[in-house]
Amino acid sequence: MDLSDIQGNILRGYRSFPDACFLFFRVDRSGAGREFLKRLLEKDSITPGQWREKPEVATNIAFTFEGLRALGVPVASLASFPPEFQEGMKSRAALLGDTGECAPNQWDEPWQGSTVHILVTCYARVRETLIGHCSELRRLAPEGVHELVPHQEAGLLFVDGKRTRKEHFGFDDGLSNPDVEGVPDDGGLGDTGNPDEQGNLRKIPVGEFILGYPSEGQELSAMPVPHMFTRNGAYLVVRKLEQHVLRFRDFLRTQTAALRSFPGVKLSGGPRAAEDFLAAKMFGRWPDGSSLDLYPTAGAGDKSNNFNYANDLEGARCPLGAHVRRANPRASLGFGGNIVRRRRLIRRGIAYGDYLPQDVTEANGGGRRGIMFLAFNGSISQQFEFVQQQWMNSGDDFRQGDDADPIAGNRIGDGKMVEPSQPFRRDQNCAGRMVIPGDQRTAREPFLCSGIPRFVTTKGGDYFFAPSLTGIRLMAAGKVYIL
Amino acid sequence: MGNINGKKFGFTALFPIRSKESAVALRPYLRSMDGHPYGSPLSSVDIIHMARFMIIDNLAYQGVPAKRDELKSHYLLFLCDFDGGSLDVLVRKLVSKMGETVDDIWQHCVGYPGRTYRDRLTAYFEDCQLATTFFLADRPNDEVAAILRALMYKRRFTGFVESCQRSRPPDLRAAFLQLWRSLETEPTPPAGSL
Amino acid sequence: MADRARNQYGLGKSVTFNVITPMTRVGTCVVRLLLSIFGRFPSTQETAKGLSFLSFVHWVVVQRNAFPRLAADQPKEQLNYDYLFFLSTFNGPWSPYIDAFADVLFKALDAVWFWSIGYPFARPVSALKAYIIRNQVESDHAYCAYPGASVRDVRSALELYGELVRFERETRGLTAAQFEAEFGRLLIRIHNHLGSFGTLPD
Repeated sequence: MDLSDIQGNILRGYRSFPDACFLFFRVDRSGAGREFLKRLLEKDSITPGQWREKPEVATNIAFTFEGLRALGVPVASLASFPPEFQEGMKSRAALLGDTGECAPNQWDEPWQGSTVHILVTCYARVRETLIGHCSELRRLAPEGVHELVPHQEAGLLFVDGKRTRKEHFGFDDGLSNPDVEGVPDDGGLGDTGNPDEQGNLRKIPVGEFILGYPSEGQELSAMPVPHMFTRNGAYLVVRKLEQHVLRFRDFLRTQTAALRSFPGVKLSGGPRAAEDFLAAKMFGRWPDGSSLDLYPTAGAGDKSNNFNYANDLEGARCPLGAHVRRANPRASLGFGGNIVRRRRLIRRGIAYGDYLPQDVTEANGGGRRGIMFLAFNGSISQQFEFVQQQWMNSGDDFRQGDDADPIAGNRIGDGKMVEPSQPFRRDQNCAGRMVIPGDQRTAREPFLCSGIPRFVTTKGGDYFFAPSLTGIRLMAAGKVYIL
Repeated sequence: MGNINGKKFGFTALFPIRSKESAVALRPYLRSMDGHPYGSPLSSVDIIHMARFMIIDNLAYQGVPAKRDELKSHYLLFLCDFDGGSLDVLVRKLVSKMGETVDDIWQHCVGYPGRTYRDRLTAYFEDCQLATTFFLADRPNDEVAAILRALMYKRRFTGFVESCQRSRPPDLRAAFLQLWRSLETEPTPPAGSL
Repeated sequence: MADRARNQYGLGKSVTFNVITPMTRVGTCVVRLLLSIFGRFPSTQETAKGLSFLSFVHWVVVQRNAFPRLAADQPKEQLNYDYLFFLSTFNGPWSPYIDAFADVLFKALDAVWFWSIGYPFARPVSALKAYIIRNQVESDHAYCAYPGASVRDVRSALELYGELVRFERETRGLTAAQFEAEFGRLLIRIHNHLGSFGTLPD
């Protein structure tokens, strides 16, 4: 595997690049678009997976289907890209659960009004260098390539004055990414592989994420043609996800009274013990990153990944429908992990907006915040869309019926068991429900959350292709040929 | 194993269709049947778990060196998983519950004897029946009514648990027994309604 | 869409799946034997049931001279092959269903489908999917008596019902306090049977 040909943001976590800016461009003339790429390459702007010296700002690039078309990629090549990539994420909104509040007609700009052609992501080691770097990039864009505004700033959150890796609901994020074969350890926190027959975690073939290599199915994932163009590339799913922190905190508060007097619930100390308990049950980890599987009663500052749910198949410790358990079920679906191994995602998301301190109430809770969700995979339909449809927006695989993920799932009902005489309507703002399983050992009864509002709303995004450096050079030179 | 698994009968049959014109008329009719409020006119036959209709008008060519097969007639495939030990049980219910719709479908098929004499119709179905070599059913012994009632209980009981959590009834046992009694006397939900 | 059961309230969870493949006479003999073995030894069935998305599966062998002929003026079929009909009802999207079969039941699939002309083996799975697409036939009508319920929903409802019947019977003589305690224990036993279900938006 040639890490110098694969773009850096795919297999590297960029952990030491805490501030980011996303620039969006539209190509009006294909010649101008190619000129832009040429200039970027001449200046060595695009950061590969293996660098000679660490850049100040790691810069990477990706293209939507419309972007590839605008850059003059031949029709025969375009036609070989998978249908979901050709359609783009906006067209697949209903499938993804982006309805009601999350529908594309509610998205932010530039996502709502345009189709982004080129995404340039800049991750800086030091924030001050970011502004200058982005200006330089903008200057490189010739006449015939224009920027779609506004750009998107993002960065690791400051909580109580300190830089953290928390997301806006207060949870440590990015604790578990796929442990990929052939990738040198990036100093990550113990990335997780896929479970084997014994439930132990083993490395994941790189072909699950990068085109041109064997995947979990022991074959090459489908690669658009020509192969020289697409090899070493990956599909990138970008979703701007707004987080409604006050809604989240308010919901937790409404459940507090019920929880404090609930049979068998033992709350560890602290004034917000009930809220923390419920939040942890919904997430599957404590805010400090400790997994519920290992630490069922309180966080212990242990963010490790030495757990696989194999001894918690009823969900007494970590609910079967909890967020992280849905996103990566590990050994909980049986069959030696065979059912889950094709569904991993490399997540490179980063928060945007300022962290909302705990004492902020409705009146002065201005500003918007969320996460720029970025996920790399070898097949959008088999990986991202599968997880979104089957594990986030449905609970059947987890014995939770139609109950969607409490944090990120869609809402199509009224949060209660729906009688057939009340047909669903996609355009309504609806509520969700979640069952928090009980625990036989402590005699804790199951707790039913209902009327869960939508805490996370989609505000933009699209499906991108992140080519290799070779692929970008071919496009820049106008030399993507099909015989 | 054949066509039976537990209490279930897996009936598969190929009914030759009279002509290409009949097939052309039949297909849109079949495709419109899911406009029924309960998803199909078959819903009135309350012993049927699942069923499908499919017109087979050609066989796929696998490519050289395979030979090409062409069917001289079109066939209506009818697959029906129902509660019962024999085909006669199904035919009796089709006739009594679906009435004219049986004619609407099968009039297009060669040799259809009509609904008037049930034993002739059963014999017709037997003539077209295919032997299922392997029949897997997830729940071989649970009948349609039992499944529909259980789903109804699941819905209501979950609602009961939700309301108990919101406000605990002072006499839990009385509340439960009230739910129980109402469920016991509640009619089974119509097939296709859940 | 005709493959998916539904009702007036929305789309169902049950999807029909039909694949018809040609076999030689030798193939027919072997497949009949193999399928009867699978019928007698439950381990393959256990794995298939463990996947929890299959309601019904029919394997039907139709020999070349066994296509029903009911009138003298109905032409006799003259076919080069016998045919294997795979007719199943399952939940969920098609592609992951095949992935699961290929990952977990490939030996059984290969054993039975090996005898079908042109079959490429279950792994790697993309060749299998291409073969299926070539030989798949769409249903013209699909019906399910409980369209809004998946295989797991049905199992869950039946288990819950059994638990409730038992609970009602066994708590008849108890005091109110004892009843409350037993009710709490019941809830813990059935806590993963409380998921919502129903038809889905169109």
